Amino acid sequence: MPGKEYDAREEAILGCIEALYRTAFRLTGNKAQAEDLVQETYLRAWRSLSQLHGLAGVQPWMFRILRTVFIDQLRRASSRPKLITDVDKVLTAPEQLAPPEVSNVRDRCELDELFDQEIISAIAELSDEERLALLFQAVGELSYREISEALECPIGTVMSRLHRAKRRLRHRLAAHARNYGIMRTTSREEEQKDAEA
Amino acid sequence: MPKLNCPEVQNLLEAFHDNELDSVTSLSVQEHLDGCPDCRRQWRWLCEVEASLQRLSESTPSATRDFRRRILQPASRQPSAMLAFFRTHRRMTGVASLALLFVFTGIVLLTEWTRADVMLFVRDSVKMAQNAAPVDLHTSNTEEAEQWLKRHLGFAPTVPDPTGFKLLGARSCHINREPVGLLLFERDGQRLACYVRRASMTALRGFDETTPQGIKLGTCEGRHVVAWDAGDISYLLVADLPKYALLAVADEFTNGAPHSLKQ
Repeated sequence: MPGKEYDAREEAILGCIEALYRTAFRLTGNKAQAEDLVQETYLRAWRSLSQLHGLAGVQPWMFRILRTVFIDQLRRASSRPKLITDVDKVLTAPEQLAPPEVSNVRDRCELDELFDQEIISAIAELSDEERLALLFQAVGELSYREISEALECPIGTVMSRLHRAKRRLRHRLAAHARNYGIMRTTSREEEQKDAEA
Repeated sequence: MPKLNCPEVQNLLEAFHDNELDSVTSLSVQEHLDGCPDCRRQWRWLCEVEASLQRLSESTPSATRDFRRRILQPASRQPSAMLAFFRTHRRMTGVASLALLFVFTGIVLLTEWTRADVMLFVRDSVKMAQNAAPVDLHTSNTEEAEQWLKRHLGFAPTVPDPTGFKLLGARSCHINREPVGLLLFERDGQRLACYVRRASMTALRGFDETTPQGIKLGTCEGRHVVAWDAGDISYLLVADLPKYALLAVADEFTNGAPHSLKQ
């Protein structure tokens, strides 16, 4: 019956609130904008509910709408500063050093906090498509296939976007660690030991 | 198992971490990492990033209960619900729209069909002129005519006495299923038919102009027709007179004689 199918789709859509809101929160960086983004996403979803075929693709479908709304809002604002850095040129060197090894729990927590702050600011500097792919995966918990449906691009493109995004984050963390003087210098012998272990 | 070089492995590290590689490629990456300190260092940085992303996800706040309620509120989905109804019940909506269209067309046609035309009165007046429809009461006495109309129609207009016109008689009939009274006047061989009824005469089809006093004026089959409403009684004059002369008579009717209904 069409009515029952409709109810099931509505239920499925409402089941995405949490993932959508959390992703929207990390995309926008604040609660009010995240709520606006999700509310608009749901308004558009209700309007185009008939375009949703089956329940299997509900989550990617909702994330696709979220992405469209987000891009629309960015276009309207159009004043967001772009801080794209050429990571290959600037930040290759830090990764020649290994991440610090911290056994003390308290030190580890402080280091995590330091890294997390750096990651948040690094995510904000990613290109929109890289940021969307990364947050859809990390916060929205979508698979590569679901991200490709949500972003309407092939899985290969998703892989390369995630690779580029995470490579930037790796470079940022390494550079940050070096600037704070918490980098661990490893010798060739130590590396060999690591390998043997 | 294919051997992978460092750039290839470094490009696959994220997919390797996310278990999105096929088993053969995954084993090749693992094997390379085991023997390559440079790539292993990259891998460890990636693990730091992934751990940080995990913490980021865990520390992301959930939607508040108030916000969830807002999303669930019917008001926020009302427009779509209506659209959704039409989309879901397309066939029913189509049938209902068609039925509405038929009903609407029917109403319009019925209204047009039931709406009388001044032509009916003009033709009746022509019959009168040719004595094909004679008056029922022959009298020149206006009071007698008033009483007679009251008996036959249930109401009696004050019968005017337009200058130079002589009352010939009165008649009652039905035009377009409406009871109508007729007063027939004559002046110099020219006849003036004055129709009275309760329903508005100005709503008839066939008028072209309206004077500032609200008198409707039209021409039908070579004769001029004027009509006006006066309270709950309505008048229509047909005569083979020039337009200005007929308007002058109408003016005399409206200003010179009271049109109050005598029950």
